[in-house]
Amino acid sequence: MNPELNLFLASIEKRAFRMARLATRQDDDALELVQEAMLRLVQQYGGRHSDEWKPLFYRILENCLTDWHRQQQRQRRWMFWRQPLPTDPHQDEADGDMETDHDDGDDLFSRFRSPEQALARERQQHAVLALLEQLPLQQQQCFLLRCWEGLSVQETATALGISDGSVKTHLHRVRQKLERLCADHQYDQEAQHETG
Amino acid sequence: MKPVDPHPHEFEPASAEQLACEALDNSLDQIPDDISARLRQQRLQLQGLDTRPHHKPAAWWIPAGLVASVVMAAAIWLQPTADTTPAAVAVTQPSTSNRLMTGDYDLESSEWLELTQLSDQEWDMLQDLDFVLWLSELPDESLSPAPVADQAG
Repeated sequence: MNPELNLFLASIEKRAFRMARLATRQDDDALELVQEAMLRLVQQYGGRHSDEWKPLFYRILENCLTDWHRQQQRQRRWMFWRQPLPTDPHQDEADGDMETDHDDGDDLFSRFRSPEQALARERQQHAVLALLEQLPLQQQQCFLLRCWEGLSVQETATALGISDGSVKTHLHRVRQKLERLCADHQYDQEAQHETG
Repeated sequence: MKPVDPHPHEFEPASAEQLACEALDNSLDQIPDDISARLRQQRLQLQGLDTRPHHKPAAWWIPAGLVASVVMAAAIWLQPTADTTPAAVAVTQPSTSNRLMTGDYDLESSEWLELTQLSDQEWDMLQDLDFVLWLSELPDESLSPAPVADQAG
């Protein structure tokens, strides 16, 4: 494999896993999807110019995720007695650890005025991640590609196979939900201050 | 006079979008080591692969070939069986001279034999019958009486 391509894959593997993990909520499936996307990129588009790799890779990953979701829906339809998607074990661990374990939070505390603020910020971040996980697939991927990965509206639209207008609509809805969540957290925080 | 913030840039209310991106970035560091190791291993497995694009044989040519074969077979099957080569035409169609010789009658040899055995009277009668047949096939206009030119005079 081209060393440049290897470097590219190394640079995006964790982000791709995070995206797939948010969409599937399962480590094994996320790993498998990332590997499949990487394999397809290497085999089919490895000879392309390096500028094209990122949008191509995310397009392949989106296709893999869409296929995975369709497959899950089919399985759920036929095996309706089975449980829905499992909850995120790492999320639960993180929520549990948040109260007691602050080993890696020293840096976080140093950036804020008080431990309360740092804790509030951390809680808010967990809530945001939980919200992103609950979003419909297309809204979620739209936000991740456009806002987190920094793809253009057009590249996002191409990766998701939708129009530019749909990308903007999805982004608007996600932003609304995020702002509502942040506002709720702010309100809770203020209420805690008043009672405290 | 504006109060000076003793801790500038420490706690800025981030926008919801910024907060989400920050949360996602932080979550990358929280990926367990075993997952990171598996990701790395997966990537290393890909290193032995050829990066040239694989030109797989297009899957469409199989049904297309089948359809073409069926169409060709049907065309051959439904083709008219008459042999239209010039030689065949010459054999099957009598020449102009032959037609004149036979009088364009489509008669068998036995019928010709019977005709030769006819008496003169029977032959005349047959010719009359032939004349009647010819007359019946003429268009009606040709049977209208010719205009009489010298009726008055």
